Amino acid sequence: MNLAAKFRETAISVVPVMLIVFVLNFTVAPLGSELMMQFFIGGILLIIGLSVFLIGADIGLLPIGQKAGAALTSKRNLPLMLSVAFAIGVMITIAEPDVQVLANQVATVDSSMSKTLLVLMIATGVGLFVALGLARIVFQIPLRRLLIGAYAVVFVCAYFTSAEFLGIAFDSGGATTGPMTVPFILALGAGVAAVRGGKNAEDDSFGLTGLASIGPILAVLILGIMARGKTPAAETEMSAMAGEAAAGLMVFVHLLPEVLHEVFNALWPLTVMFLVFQFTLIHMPPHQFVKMIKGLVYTFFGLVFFLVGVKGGFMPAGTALGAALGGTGRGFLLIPIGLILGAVVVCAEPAVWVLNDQVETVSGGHIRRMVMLASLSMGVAVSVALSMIRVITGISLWWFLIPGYAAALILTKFCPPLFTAIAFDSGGVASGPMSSTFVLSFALGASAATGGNPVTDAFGVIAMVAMTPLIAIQILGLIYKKKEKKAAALHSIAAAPAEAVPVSAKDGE
Amino acid sequence: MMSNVAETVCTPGKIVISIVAHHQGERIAERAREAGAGGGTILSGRGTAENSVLEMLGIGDTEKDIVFIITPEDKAGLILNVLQETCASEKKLRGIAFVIDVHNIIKASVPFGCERESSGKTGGAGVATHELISIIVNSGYADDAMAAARQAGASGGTIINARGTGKEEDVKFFGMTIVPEKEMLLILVEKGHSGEVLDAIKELTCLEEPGSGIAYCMDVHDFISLGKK
Repeated sequence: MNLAAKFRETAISVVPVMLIVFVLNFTVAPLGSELMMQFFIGGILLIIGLSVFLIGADIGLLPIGQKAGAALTSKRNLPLMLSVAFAIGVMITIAEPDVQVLANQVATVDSSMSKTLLVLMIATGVGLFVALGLARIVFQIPLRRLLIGAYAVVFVCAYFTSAEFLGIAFDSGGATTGPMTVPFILALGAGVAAVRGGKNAEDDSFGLTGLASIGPILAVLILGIMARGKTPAAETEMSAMAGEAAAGLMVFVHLLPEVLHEVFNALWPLTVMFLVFQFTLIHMPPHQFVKMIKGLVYTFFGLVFFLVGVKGGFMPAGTALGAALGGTGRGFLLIPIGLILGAVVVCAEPAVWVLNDQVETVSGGHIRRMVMLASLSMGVAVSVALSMIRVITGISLWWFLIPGYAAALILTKFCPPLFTAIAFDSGGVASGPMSSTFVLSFALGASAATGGNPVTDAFGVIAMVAMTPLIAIQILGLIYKKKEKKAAALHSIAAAPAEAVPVSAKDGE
Repeated sequence: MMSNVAETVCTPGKIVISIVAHHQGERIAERAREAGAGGGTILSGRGTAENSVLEMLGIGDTEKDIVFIITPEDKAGLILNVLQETCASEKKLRGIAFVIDVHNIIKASVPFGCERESSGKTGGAGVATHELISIIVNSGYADDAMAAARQAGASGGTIINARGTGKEEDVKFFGMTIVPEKEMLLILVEKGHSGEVLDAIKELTCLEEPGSGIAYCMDVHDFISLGKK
């Protein structure tokens, strides 16, 4: 059955993380039995939550976004389309819990900054880029040109901004595109592409999320330029994080109201938008309408379980793990362990599953989700390992971001457009709640234990997680391109006279 | 180059359609190739819920692969047998398969060239035991059609996402062609029951608008269910 299959899949993706932490617990980094218990319960909640969330996304979030995108395009009214897209971007960002967290982080760097202003700026950034992304599909502007242009602006702004804002800005690109917004934006783009006929329609299905995550980067960088010269107050964030771990097993119960509130906040704008769309644009028949509502309910409970598990079990374990490893005088261990953790953690990101499913569907099964998962896993593994090097040595984020993004942008020239679009989407997708809690806590713990500066050293880990998939997936694209060329060459040679090969959609592999 | 034109033309022929779980389509196509089929086309679709509790919870849908294998008339039986045998021995492979008569198969052969031979007769078909109802509706409406069909006695169906190419709807929007999104619902019923199902779908209020969908029936023979019983 579908449900059982989903459970099996998510269990397969979460269990490795748990195993690794168990192994570390009994070897180099003992965490104590209470924390391990907490971590174990968290893992179970995570598996349940992820499965339920994914089922909900399948029948709720994704069809809604898809139908909305398709209906918007079918109206053939550009001002309407762009203004609705802008409104969607703004609304889902304001509601995104991660944006609130980010706003708090910025406030620790510069207390004179108004939180409302910051949230509004980020939301405007996302809204503008979502609208830009849809306009791109309509006017058929190549995604790579837009990406290069946007990142050029980003790097010019980054040059002028203060160092503290640099890490936060690039983190924000990944962090603001959370588990609710990513599926929705993904589906919105796919919907627009679905009603567009002609060649290359599938290339346009992706890319919107990638563009949307540039918005917050730019917004924070611009704020950083405005705040230049201010001195940061680094310690507050750390102590706030440490405080949470002390609550013991009751932590899950204590977290519940907070998480309920958070998820509710993320979901209600989507629900309101859905209802507005239903009665103005998409007019779904009753059966389908009820099914979508059920989907939204599932996403709600799924995400609640997931976040309670992550925050109650994984976050404290991550911090303790980082601290234990960093503090033993065997700091070099952080690098290989970061590598392994990165590889397995990405498999437990909800949005990653949604993206991989979408990729498989849009490509008609040509690009398998397991292939996507493996590439993402490799990419993120490298990024976490590099982040650990940064934590230990304190090398500036610049040295990784500039070559990384330069490589990603250069690759757009050679890589098939579909893969470029998927790659830039997967950047925002890979940096979901797992990396912004578990991996970030791990980095913070390690950074504190090795005596570094958490703000400049540890933040930035999400930026790295968001960057490496751009390269990994595009390399995958190059491999596919090469394989296809080879297969095509083989095909024309092997086409012996007697062999009449009926059309086969999958012969190309 | 033109000498490479294929000589085999199979008209009339059969189309073997098999619906199995997601990712099993390749396996089916592979076995069919071993049994003498030239190849296959695999589509992805979703199967509607098998039982009403799951359906009510909204979690009954499963991902499916639909495999189309076009073959000469004489090979269809063999392919079907091979599929049945394979599936009986492998636990994971479960699904259905059936055969439809087709004629006027046109094949573009490699590298160029296109052959056509038409034949009016639909060659010695087996006894039609089932009917395949195909319903093409605007995207999102297939689930409602399925619900109606189920009330009329159909057991389940498979939904494929598709794009329409209706002439009057082919409109440009800044140089971009807008095509209507469609869903194609395939339902197999026993011979003689298609009328009830079609009537039930016709009754749906959401399909009252002109142009909201079409439906048609085909005779199907050699219906088998694959997999261990």
